[in-house]
This record gives sequence, structure tokens and C-alpha cells, in this order.
Amino acid sequence: MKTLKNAAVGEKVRVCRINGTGPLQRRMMDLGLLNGTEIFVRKVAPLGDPMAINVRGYELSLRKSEADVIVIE
Amino acid sequence: MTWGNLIAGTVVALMLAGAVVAIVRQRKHGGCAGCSGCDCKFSGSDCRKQR
Amino acid sequence: MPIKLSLAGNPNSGKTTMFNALTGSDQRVGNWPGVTVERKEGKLKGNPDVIVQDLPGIYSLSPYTLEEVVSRNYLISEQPDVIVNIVDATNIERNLYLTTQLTELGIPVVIALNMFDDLAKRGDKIDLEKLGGLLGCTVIPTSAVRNTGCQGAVEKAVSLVGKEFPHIHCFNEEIENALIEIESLLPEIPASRWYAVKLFERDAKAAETLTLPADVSAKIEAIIERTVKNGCSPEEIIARERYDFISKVVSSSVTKAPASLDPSARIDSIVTNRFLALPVFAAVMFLVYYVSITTIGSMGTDWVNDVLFGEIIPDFVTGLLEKAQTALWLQGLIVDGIIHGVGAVLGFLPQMLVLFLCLSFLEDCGYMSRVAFIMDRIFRSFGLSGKSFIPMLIATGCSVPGIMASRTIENESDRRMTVLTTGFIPCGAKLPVIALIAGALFDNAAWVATSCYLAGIAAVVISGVILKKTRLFAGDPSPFIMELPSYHLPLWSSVLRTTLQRGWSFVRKAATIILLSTVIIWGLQNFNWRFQMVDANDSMLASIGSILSPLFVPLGWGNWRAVVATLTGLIAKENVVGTLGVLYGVAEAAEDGSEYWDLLRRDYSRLAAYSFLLFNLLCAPCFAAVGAVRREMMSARWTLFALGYQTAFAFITSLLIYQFGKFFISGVFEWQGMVPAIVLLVFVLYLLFRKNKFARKKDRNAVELHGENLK
Repeated sequence: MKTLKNAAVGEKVRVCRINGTGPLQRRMMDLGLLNGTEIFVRKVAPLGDPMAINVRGYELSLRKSEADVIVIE
Repeated sequence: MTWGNLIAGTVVALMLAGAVVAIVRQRKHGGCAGCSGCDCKFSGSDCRKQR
Repeated sequence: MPIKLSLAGNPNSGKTTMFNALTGSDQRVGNWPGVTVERKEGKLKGNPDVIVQDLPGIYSLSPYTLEEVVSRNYLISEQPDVIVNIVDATNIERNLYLTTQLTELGIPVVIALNMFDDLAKRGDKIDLEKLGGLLGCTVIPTSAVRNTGCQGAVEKAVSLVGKEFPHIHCFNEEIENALIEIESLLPEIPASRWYAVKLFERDAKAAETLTLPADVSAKIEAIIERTVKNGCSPEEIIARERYDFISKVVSSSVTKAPASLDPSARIDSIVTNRFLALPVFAAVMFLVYYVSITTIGSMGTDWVNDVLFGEIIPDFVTGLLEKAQTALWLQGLIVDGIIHGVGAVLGFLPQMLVLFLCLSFLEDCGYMSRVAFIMDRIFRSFGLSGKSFIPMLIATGCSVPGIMASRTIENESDRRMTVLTTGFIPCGAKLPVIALIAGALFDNAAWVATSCYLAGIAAVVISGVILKKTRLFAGDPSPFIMELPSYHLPLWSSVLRTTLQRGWSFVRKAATIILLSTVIIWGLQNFNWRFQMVDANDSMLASIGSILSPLFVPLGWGNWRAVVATLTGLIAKENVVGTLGVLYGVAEAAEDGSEYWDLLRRDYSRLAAYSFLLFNLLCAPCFAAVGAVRREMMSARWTLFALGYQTAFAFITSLLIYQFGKFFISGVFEWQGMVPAIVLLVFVLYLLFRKNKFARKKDRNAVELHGENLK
């Protein structure tokens, strides 16, 4: 099971599902991170965390620990 | 009491009174000490109109 | 009855800019998500019957952060007459997600397609007719920064007031049927469609406000069970249906230009580069302070301080008063009290203006959220979130909005920590104090201001480490899911307006609170307790200061004048400068006429002055900021704790700097000073490096969370 946390910079991935429920997961869905959404991994911050992704045409930053609930194909 | 005393004293008294009034008004308004971005509900021209 | 018109939309879509354009007010704007945290209202320019309301930006009507709650509660329970939904045209997909929710409220919605000019520049095309038709509302292209189209959007909105507003169907048939069924179970309420969707999503807060009878709830649950299959959550189904609908709408109405390399991505490849990001950030901060304190700003300040308020005005006024034969005490009050005190503060206006200009530019261009991105990892290892950094950056202007900006932080203990530590950041009002010490004792060295800024950050970080290990603040840091807005070159008009507005606030403060304080200080230092005019050393002020001054001897400035200046700094930090101006300005007139900066140099060593400066930067903030802390903490106990903590922190820091500094400079070990200093240092180091008793609890939580995920 690969999560967004392990995706490499410059990689284009597709969301498979969001693990769990709660405010964090809800926020991700509201921001358009859903089953089937394409994500481009833009970069990671200087100290390796958080990461910046491009989703639905905008830039979003999230921590590795948060990226870990996003399962990718 | 010279005229000079009277005039200078009045000017100072008016300035102080003005400062007090301005502070009280601002406080009443819920405004802070005067930075932008405070929680004053009305601002700019609206703020003055509300008064 | 006035018409209530609400501006609603995603964070950073330009609601406040439009609000300012519509009402002619000057609310704070910036290029990062979450500038507005409270509802603001104003009357429409040219039509006072329309009240325009600026709501905090939200991504969705879910109730997770404070500003979402503000917007949601307002829209649901107070029911504005019409909504202008501001949609960022350059980021249309995610913005329309909120639109699909707003149209369910039963309130007429007009879409203001904002930043339309940016979209045109990019070469994308949108078929407005088609888009509006699919979404069921009128779409009007606008550019809030250039104030085009805003009036048109409002006129359209006003014409819709009181009309029926049918919602659009964005779900598939099965869900649509379930929603209709749920809606039929609800009593006659406004926004029943929206409630039906929320109940379907199992939104507990929405269910709470409705207080449905148990049998209805059971029926609804049965409908949900029936409709939701294969283990999906209803929340997820609704969200996916909405985005699927939007994708269809967008693909049929938007023609994207062939993608070129986004300029934002190009800038980001440098400023958030793995190796360059931190040096770039340090360089930017240094440059801001270097330009404003050391070069351009100080040229202006030197002239205003030495010439304008040092010679021209006092000489002119003294001449005038002497000619009019005014009493000596009155001359003293005007020249030594008011002119020296207020002048000492106003003298720093040029430096302030340059600083405000730099900060407004940084805020508007979009760099601030990148800083949060870069700093998050560092902050997190100290138990804070990168999001805490944004309030702190705002606080470089003024702590009050900085403290209020902490509302974007979801987690309560993080929010409290941010409120508590934001006061450590040198705000605009502390800048004159820094500039005074840097100018009088350090020949305007740029490192003084930069080191103050770094000391502020260090204070935040150290407090983060210490406090996270106490029971009060234990817990995981907030999530950091944040949008990184596109860079844009700020409009000079808007940067200049913000700068002048802040500059004006500074002047206004000098003319009100500082003026009063200096007059009181002047009175206290010229009279004794029997109201006889005496020498400053026998005055009421000297006796008040002398009671407290022994406390500050270990910090190197147990001088009643410095103590009094610190006390008056609690009213407003500029007062430190104003008070010193009055106290030494009088001395200047009475003694040998040497400049007041020279007198400062005679009374304080560089080390003592630096310790004085640090204490004033870190100790309890001004009353306005204390009020903001009180409002955000919503508890007197927490507020007192914050004040006590800040003051103790400032005291210990200054003491350590002074005592160790003295030891390293002179090489003489003075046991009376050094022993307490060493004890305190050991104590602080213990607090910093002791084991975190609450860390294990955190691990267990992580396991629980993981376990839940596996389910």
C-alpha cells in the first residue's frame, strides 16, 4: 500500500482513497483530494517536510504525516 | 496671568481633551490602540459615519 | 429594512479587497489564506440601504475551524438576503465546490468571477453564459483589485433579493432521491435542502441545531444505510459527487490555454529551494530591517529627531512662549513634556514608513505562506505548527491582528501557545525602541534590529519547547494543510495605501495615548507628593521608580528612569521612547545641553542598554495586545498566565545576557551576580532538555489513530 508520503518529487500520482475519518480527512476531501484525483508532487521543503503538491490546478502544502493517509495507486 | 499663559494653557488643555475624547471613542468602538486589522466592526469612512 | 449582502468565498479569493472596493473602507488584505478571521460589515458606497458583510474565507460549510464556524453559523442562522460568491477564476475547480454548497441554502447567489484579468492574461477562456446556466446563477467577471465589475455584481445581487432561488442538482439520481426523502421528513425550515445534505453526511452539529425526534433520526439513518454502499463514508460520496459535477461544468465551459511554465513555479524554484530557502528567508528579513532601520529610514529619522524635533520646533515654540511671557512651568510642560515626548516617538516615523512599506509588499506578493511552508519543519520540532508563523509575521506590524490571526489554527493548545508567544515578536511599536537603542548606543548597527528579530523568534521557539513539556500544552501539533497562493506583483496603490494607513495609525497613537502619557510623566517627574515643583530626582516619579528599580539592578539598568520607561511601555511600547525623551530631554535643558542620546550613552553601558531593550521587547505587551490575548484566550486565568510567563521570560533572558555578558567582557567573576545567573541558566536548561512526560501519551494516540485507520 503506497501513500502520498512515499511519492517522489516530480511524480504524477492518482489518489486511491483517503484513510480514516475525521476533520483531517474531511478537510482533504473539501480541498478536492478524492478517489481518482490526479496529484503532481511539486517539491519538499528544505528540511524534508512538509511537501507541496499540485492538485486541481492549485498548490497545496501538507506534512508527510498527513500525506500518509492518502493512499495512491 | 498673561495672555500668553491663557492662550498656551488653553491650547494644551484642548489638545489633552481631544486626546482623551479620541481614546474614549476608539475604546467604545471596540477598536485597539490604532493598528489596521483590528476587530473594529466599521472602518474607514464607515467608521466615521457610524459615530 | 436594509438589505444584507454577504461576500462568501474561498480563502484568498479577494473578498476583503472587494469589500473595501464596495464600501470604501480599509480592511486589511494580504496574499495568504486566512487574512480575515471575523465578520466585518459596512455600508455600500452610494447606497446606504445595502449592508455588505465580509465573511472569513472558507473551503466548505463544514464546521472544523473557527472561521468556518463563523461563516457557516452566520449564513445558516442569520440568513442574509443575498450572497455574492467570490470565485477565484484562476482556481475555478476548488472554488466552485463551495458554490455548490452555497446554492443549497435557498438564498439567491450571484457569482463574482474574480481575478478575471489574471485569467485573461493566462489565455484561458470561460463561457460565462454556459457556466452560469449550469450552476443556476448569474456569473459576472470582476477584478476586485482594479475595482472592475464589482458594482455590476452587487446590482445584480440586489435585484435578486426576495426572489425564489432553486438549487442546482449536482448529485446522481440515487442520492438525489435519498435527499428528497430526508428533506420531506424535516419540518418547515429555511435551508432545508442544505440540512438534508448535512444530515446525509451525518454532520453532528447540524443535527444538534435541528433537535429531531428520535424516530425521524432513525428513519434518516435507514435512508443513509440504504444509499451508501461498499464501505464509503457518506461525506466522501457527497464530496466526490460535487467534484464530479464541477469537473463536468468546467470541462464544458472553460477552455484552458496550453500550459506554459507558471511564473509562480519559477519563483518557487528559488525561494523554496531545498538549499536556498532558509538563506533567502534570512536575507529577506535582514534586508527589510537593514533598509528600514539602517539606511533609508535612518536618514529620515536622524533629520526628524535631531533637526525637526531637536532644534526647529522646540526653538520656535520656546521663542514664541517667551515672547508671550508664559509661566516657566507651562513652557516646561509644552517644550520638555509634549514636544520632547511626542517628538521622540514621531521621530521614528520615517523608519516606520519604510518598514511598513517592505512588510506590505511582502504580505501582498504571496511570500508569507511560503515562509510558513519553509519553517514548518523547524517549528514542529519545537512543538509549534508552521501556521503559527503567519500570526507572528503579522505581528511584526502589530501584535493585535497577529494574535487574532491565530484563529486559523485548528488545535486549541497550539492556538493558545501561538497567542502566548506572538507577543515576543518585535511589533511596529517596539521598532522605535529598537531604533533608539541602536541609534544612541550602537551607531545604527543593522545587527541590533536583526538580532532583536531573531531573539523574538528564539523566544518563541524556546517557549515552544518548554511549554510543550507541561501538561497545559501537551499534544500533537495542528495539521498543516495550507494552500500556497500564486505570487502576484502587488499593486503599488494598495501597498502605498496600507503603508500610509499604518503610518497614520502610528501618528494618531502619538497624538492621543502617547501625548497623554508624556504629559502625565512630565507632571509626575516635576512635582513631589505635596505638589511642589522639584528637581526630577525628588519627584513622585523618582520615588515610584526607585521602589521598583532594585529589582532591575541584576539586569544592569536599576535606574529609576529606565524602570519608569518600561512601566509606561505597557500602555503603548512607543511610550518607552517618549518617556525617555521627556526624562532626558529635561535633563538636557537643565544640565549642560548635550544631546539626549549622549545622555543615554552616559547612563547606560552598551550591555545594559541591550538588556533593557530585550526586556522591553519580551516582557508583557501593551494593553491593547493584552486585551487581544484576553479575547482569544477567553479566560482571565490564561491571560494572567500569559503575562506572568512573558515577564518572567523577559526577566531571565535579560539577566542572563547582562550577567554573562559582563563576565565575558570584564573577565571578573562577581559571585553576587553570577551565582543566581548560573542557577537560572541551569533551571532553564533543565526545562529545555528534561524528558517530555507527555510524549508517551502522544505515541499511544498515534497507535489508536492507526488502529482506527485499519478498521
